[in-house]
Amino acid sequence: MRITVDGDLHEGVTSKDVILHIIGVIGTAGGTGSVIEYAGSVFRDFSMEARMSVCNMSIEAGARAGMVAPDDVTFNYLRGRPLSPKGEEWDRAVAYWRTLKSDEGAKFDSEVIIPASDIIPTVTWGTSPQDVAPITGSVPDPSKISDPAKRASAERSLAYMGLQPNTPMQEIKIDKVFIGSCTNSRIEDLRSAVKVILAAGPEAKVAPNVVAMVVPGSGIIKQHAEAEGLDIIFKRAGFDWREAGCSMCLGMNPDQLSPGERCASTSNRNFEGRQGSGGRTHLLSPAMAAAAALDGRITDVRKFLGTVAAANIAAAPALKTANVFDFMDEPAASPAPDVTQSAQADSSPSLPPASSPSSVEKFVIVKGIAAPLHIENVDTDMIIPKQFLKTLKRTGLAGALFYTLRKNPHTGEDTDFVLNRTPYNEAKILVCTGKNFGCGSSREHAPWSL
Amino acid sequence: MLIVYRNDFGIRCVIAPSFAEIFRSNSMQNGMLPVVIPQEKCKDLAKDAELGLDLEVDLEKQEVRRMNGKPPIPFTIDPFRRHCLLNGLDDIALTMQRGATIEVFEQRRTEMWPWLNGFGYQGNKVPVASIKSTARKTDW
Repeated sequence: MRITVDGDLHEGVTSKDVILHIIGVIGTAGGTGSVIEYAGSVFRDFSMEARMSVCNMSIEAGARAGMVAPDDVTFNYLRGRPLSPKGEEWDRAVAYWRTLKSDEGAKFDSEVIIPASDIIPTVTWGTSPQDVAPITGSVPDPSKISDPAKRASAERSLAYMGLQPNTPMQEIKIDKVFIGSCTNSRIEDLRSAVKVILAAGPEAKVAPNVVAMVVPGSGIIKQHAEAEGLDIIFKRAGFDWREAGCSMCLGMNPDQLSPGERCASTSNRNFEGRQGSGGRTHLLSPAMAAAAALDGRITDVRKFLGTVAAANIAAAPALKTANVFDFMDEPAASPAPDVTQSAQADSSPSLPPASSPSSVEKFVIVKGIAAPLHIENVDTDMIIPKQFLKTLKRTGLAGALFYTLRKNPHTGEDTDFVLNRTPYNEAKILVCTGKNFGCGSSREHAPWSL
Repeated sequence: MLIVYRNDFGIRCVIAPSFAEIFRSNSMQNGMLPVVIPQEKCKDLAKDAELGLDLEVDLEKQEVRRMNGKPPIPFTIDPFRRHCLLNGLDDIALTMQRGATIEVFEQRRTEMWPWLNGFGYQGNKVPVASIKSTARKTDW
């Protein structure tokens, strides 16, 4: 699939808005069976980090991978990095890399064209990355949806998210703000958020009803940001400045939402329970997250543009830009392995016989109870929540299957979910009447727990 | 001792109108069968399920048989994957059978794209020192 976005983006629109808009257009199954190539002037003009945010979320559109053809932006990013080729090897590499693009007139299985002017700051309202709305828009009204499966999904999402139909997105109050995750926590994302804080003036503070945290994507990014003084600005405005880590992206650690808490998050998934059981996630860009933190609700970052904002930024002490290379290792080769140490296997490993014993059970005929399930877009966070992902053993996960649906979050008791009832607690087959089963995260624990 | 990994809850087959791609291939690599049939047929089978009736999924004949006398519902599946599931063939063992082809590729890769080998690569496997684990069990 090729997705082409040409034209100029409106001011205040970032790569996160672009990819959220794209997923809204094609849906979480839009890219299934494809690898997506992103083309067009908008992607050519993006920095590497902006491109990374877009490619990161390709899986949310159902695709296997996202690609942007390499160009001078790419080579300038790679040049001189510790593990990049050097000298003559570098020249050879670049010559080869320049050939890595689609031919003129290449035929794609599907093409999607989106004008850049269509895209404004975008947020999610529901429990799927495809549940997007422009910031000027509202929570949809399920009664206006004709397709019964889609209507049921929307009703379920709104009930979970605690939202009323037709609520303007900009009226939604939040409890927490999370700037982090591998989608949006690089140095440019942090600078983008800081720019909003500076634009709001020297007295700008996180709203009293909000707890906001900033989690840099790596130790190097943290050092880099501190060298540029970004941490001081975040802290002065009342944001929590943290050590690098996954943090609240998926609540697999103490950074979690409590049930019912609403979070403006720069991460990539807003599935039920993703950031914590019962937690409500709204996805948006780092600049939008900073704006939401200051305003206490989801808000249009573009009000932090304009002459007053520009004056505030000019009046603030100038930020220095540090060079990322200051924080990286010398481009030295890793030490050569000690050849005497290990007994190297001979170069051709002994091949297993054709009928090698394997750890996979045969599937010939399976007869048994079938359990019905009437939910579409069942995601793998729903099939097995993140707190069970700490194991690499393929067994022992039966209790984790559909955990959030099988256990009452307040009492811990079994619900009347189908798999808790006889005879379905012995089901060998699951019949789901909804499409796109197993979307979202690639966790192999999902089939293991089934 | 041969350890056969059994899917845990016991569900070995999921029937749905469509699947996400990565979940689908993960399932098959773990001996589970994802069956794709039109949504209307899924709803029919769900009715059987709601009455507590068994279903019988036959991968050889590629059909789902019902217990109420109604005709079986056919499904299609990639022949290679069908072969692997029927015989319990493991992706890793299958890949290792192509060792010679892999060697040829690795040589070609080193010649054409040497930078992909990384620094200090001497053409041997990098030995991993075995570390006696002294760390306490950490859990969060």
